[in-house]
Amino acid sequence: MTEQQRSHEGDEPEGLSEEPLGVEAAAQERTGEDPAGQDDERLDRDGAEERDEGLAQDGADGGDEGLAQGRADEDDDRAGEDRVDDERVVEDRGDDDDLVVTHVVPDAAPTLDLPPDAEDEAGAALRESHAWQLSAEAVASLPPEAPPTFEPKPTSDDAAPGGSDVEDGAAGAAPEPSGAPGPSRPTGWAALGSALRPRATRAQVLAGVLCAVLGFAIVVQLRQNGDSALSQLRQDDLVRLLDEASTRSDQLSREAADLQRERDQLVSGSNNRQAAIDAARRSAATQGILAGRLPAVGPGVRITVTDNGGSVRPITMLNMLEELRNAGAEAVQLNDQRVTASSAFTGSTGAVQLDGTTLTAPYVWLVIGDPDTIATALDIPGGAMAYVRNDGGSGSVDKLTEVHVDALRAAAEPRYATPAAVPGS
Amino acid sequence: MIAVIGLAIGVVIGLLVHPTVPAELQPYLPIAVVAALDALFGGLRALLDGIFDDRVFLTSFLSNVLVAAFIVFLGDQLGVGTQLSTAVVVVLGIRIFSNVAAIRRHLFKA
Repeated sequence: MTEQQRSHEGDEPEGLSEEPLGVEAAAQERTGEDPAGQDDERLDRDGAEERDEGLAQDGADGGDEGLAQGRADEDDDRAGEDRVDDERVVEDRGDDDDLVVTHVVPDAAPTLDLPPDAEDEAGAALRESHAWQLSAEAVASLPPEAPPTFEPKPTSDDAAPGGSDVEDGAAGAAPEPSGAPGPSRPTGWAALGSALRPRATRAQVLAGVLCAVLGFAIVVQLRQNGDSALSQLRQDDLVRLLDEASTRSDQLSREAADLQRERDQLVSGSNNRQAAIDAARRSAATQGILAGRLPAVGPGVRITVTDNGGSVRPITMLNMLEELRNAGAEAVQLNDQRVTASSAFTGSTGAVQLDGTTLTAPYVWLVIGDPDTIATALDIPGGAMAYVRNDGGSGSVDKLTEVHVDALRAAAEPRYATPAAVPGS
Repeated sequence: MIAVIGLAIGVVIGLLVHPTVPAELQPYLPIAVVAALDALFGGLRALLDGIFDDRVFLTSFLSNVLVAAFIVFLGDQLGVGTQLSTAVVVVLGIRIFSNVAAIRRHLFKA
């Protein structure tokens, strides 16, 4: 019933043109076969009705398709309204024939007491928008004499998509005549205010419950969003994040390993350098002592050679020096002069020269080395002290625990020799 | 009024209960919220149009939420969950905006 009804109403323009024909045809058939019996009439009536139904059915199909194309978005939302609409129409019309029922809306509209302009507008709007779109409230609240005021179609840009984007719950949206009879239907703020009045209607309670659900969900989502950004990501994003994190971790660990190695190299390098510096410093000290560039202190002996008649020969002094070196003397000073590897005794008897400087008696040797070894070496028969005595001089050896060799000798800068690269370093 | 009170009650309950969303539902909750907002604005517009119907409101609310969640779920299964979520949010956002435009026209006649 509802389907058929809606289809009839939805197909209003076609229905208007076709159905009267069907009625007329049926009537003609009926009148033409009046003489026939009741059974025939009933049969024919059935046939006519079937034909009419077929027509209506065709119209219904076409109308439905057109509707589906034109207002696909609205169909669902409108269903509830339509049903109510239909029920009320049926209630109003009672036992009327189906064909009559299909004309209810368009016929009813012109019969209303409309102002001329409103009538035209309403009729046009009705045909344009298919009469069945009248909302339930509109039909229900249409008193016979109530002049329905149809709002003109919104023509702004925003209204244009409204036809296709009619929202859920907004069954009779902008492009249709939202049947809002002025006196009984508040609009705008009034509608809002009346809706805000607390009433224990089903709609209000339902809206309240749904709004409570919505508020709950919003709060939960906000809290969730604030809690952790990761927990609400979906699996793909999480996997991607994990990949990125692990890749980054690998890069960082590689970088850390490189830096660690570099640090180790630097540390060991500085160690090497420090060791080299230390070694060089020790070497410099040793060589400085040996070359006579540095003062030295240590255990040793002091040898005093007196030359009573000026008879000590340079060769005697040279013997003494060689004997000291053999005995392991490390630093040697004669009178005020440092004796080094390049020192030479020249001159003549009684006027011995060391590196060109004439020595004056007594000759005092300060020697750093093993005192016992040196003393023993000097005193051996036929040794250095024996030479001194043979020359007519005399000498004594004092073993000391601390001998200061203070005289220095500036090492001559080598004129020809330059340091060569040491192989292996 | 009851709707506003309900909204406030829902917020308070959410603040008090401290619920934790199950991990499986977490991607769908925001979409569902947006869909519910869309239904809410649609209902408000219908109210101002004078054609509000609680049954339509209920069904549109629930179907909006379920369909939005289902689309996102489907997208997740197909591997385009992020894109479909964006698409759903965009569509619902457009609808919300057009609804708000209609509401504004009703209330401010502009």
